[in-house]
Amino acid sequence: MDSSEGLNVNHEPVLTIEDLRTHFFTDSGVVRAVDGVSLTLFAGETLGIVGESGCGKSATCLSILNLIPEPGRIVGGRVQFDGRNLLELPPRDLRDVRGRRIGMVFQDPMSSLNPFLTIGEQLMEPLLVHERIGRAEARRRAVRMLEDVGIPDAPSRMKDYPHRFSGGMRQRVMIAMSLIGNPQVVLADEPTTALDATIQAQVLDLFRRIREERGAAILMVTHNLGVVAGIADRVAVMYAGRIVEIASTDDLFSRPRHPYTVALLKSVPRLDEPDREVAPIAGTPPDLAALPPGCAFYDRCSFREPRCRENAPPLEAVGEAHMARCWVDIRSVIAAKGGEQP
Amino acid sequence: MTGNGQPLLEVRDLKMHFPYRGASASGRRTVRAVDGVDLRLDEGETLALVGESGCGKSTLARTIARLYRPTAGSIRFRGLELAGLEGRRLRGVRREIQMIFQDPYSSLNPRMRVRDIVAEPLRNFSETSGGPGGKTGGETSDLASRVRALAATVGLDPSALSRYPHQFSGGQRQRIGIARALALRPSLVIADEPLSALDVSIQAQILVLLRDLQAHFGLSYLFISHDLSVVSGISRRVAVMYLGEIVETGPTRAVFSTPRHPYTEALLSAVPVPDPATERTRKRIVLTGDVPSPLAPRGATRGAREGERVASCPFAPRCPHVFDRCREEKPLLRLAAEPGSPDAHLAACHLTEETARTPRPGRPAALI
Repeated sequence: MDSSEGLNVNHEPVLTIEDLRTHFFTDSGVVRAVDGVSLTLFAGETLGIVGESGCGKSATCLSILNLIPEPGRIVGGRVQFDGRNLLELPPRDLRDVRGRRIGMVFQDPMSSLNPFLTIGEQLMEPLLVHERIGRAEARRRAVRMLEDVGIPDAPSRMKDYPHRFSGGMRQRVMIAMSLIGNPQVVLADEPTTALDATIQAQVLDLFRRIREERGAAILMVTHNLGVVAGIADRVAVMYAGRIVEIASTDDLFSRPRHPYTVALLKSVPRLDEPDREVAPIAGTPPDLAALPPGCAFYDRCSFREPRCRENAPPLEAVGEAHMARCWVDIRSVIAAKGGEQP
Repeated sequence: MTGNGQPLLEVRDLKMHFPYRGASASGRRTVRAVDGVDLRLDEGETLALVGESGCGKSTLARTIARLYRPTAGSIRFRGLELAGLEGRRLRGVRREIQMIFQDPYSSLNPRMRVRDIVAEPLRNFSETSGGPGGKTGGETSDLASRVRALAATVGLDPSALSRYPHQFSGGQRQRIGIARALALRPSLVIADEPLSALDVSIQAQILVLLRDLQAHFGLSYLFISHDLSVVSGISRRVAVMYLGEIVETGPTRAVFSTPRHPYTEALLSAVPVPDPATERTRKRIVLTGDVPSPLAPRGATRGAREGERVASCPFAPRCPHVFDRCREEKPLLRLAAEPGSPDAHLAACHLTEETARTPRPGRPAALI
């Protein structure tokens, strides 16, 4: 499933997710958090995954490195990286990939940094373990890394513990950690969600630089459409554990092809268009433990047809490098109504 | 309307300081959470209060609602001074001023049914028979029908009333909180980040509900938010806070289209816009440094003791346009633009003042 054609990205896939299924075995049933997700991340691109809470975007991201907590389990699919399926890798080999070949940045940096080790020790550790270099060289590289992510007084801050850093600085440290092994891929799960606006802007700026200067491919999970618009080359929209649309960022925002994407775009207030009315999406997402047989968005969809209720639509090409999971050709429906949405 | 042009709420030079015993050697310090704020809110209008964490916007809201006793300054509500009010008289005003909170998970009692959560303010203020302490027992049909009507007003199904908060989604819980806030027919609703804990599509539902309720009941909102996109659609006027002070205020349209304070400008430029073309071409101002803490305000004055004040602009350490005067003299809120409308656009910035065509000395008379 190559949806990158016609895009200005390097065509070499670095990470391929095939039919990933991650389920949570809870008291109230089997929650299909990720229900057949396929994605390809190409070298040097930033791919955004957007959706609301519970849509499976974070679970997809965590599944890549087999970091799904109990009672969750990856029940199917493959994650191809560097010629191997990460989901079948022995724990030892997977640890080697984690953090070194594939870096990770999470929403809450405090939970991913060790509070008992100085930033310097944490940054130097992977270098000392994985690369045949001495402490002096590891230290030099760690300091340079901190400087790269914009930490002032990097040499002296090496001695500080994580709690000595502010939220924004901590996220920079986390990003430095994710980059220290020169990874080909950085997985970022809501990396700016906990940050203040001006600090979010700093961190997004840093991600733009990472892509330009290091050529790392970035998979960024976020609920914020503005963030993906500003940072992603391509965007995947998830709903109820599945990708419902994937396209170049420009196409997705200017020519959305899935009713959920259309509805989501119309539901957010926009600073640049204060007069535009926000249109709420009625209802709530379906119970992932009891998904309907047909389209999961059926109940909330303004384009629905009778067939949508019975049969779940497949993810199909609707344009160049553009796929959507919808039976209805919503462009022609909109056109037939003179540009008005139903 | 109050007639005679008297504002519903008028706040003057309000200060809310907290003692703080930190681990510092200097001992007792003061957190100047709110440090000299002027505000005005007219009947039926929405004033948005924006700023980043620690700027004092929530403390300001809670002080106005008199959950705190202010350190200094005046809060006039319909002409009545609330700042020193106590006991019964304060209680009397409380029903007029209600709050909606950010986290609908922690602001609802998990052991109470929705019916009782919504009815509680009515019972407390013995709005209907039953009186204080009437509890669940002596529930009149009058009270029950009021509760049902409130539920309908906020879009809750009647069946919701017999359930508990944990049985609802975040959006539904926020509706419960709104029903409770409206129970006593307040005239002022202070909404403290009412959308921040909600998902995108649910945010829009609550935003539309709040707007409908305002139109229907003539409510006035003090709407606190860190999200400028939300604010742009709901408020006619906006005030931007930084380190306990208002650095810019005016009609939302004017402030957002032509910000006169470098902080407002940076804040606006930091808002991601869901449009790739705009995102590619827009001017970005990426501020250096962190969001400051009110514990060590005024930039360089780390460890400043109580009473010690440094006369500089609070934004000077992060300001891209900082010049000598900013470090020597604190700018006051002044008219920033020729008043084209009845609402003044004010900013506390030396740069703006020096470039404005009609700089007016001194403090603006009454935040016209």
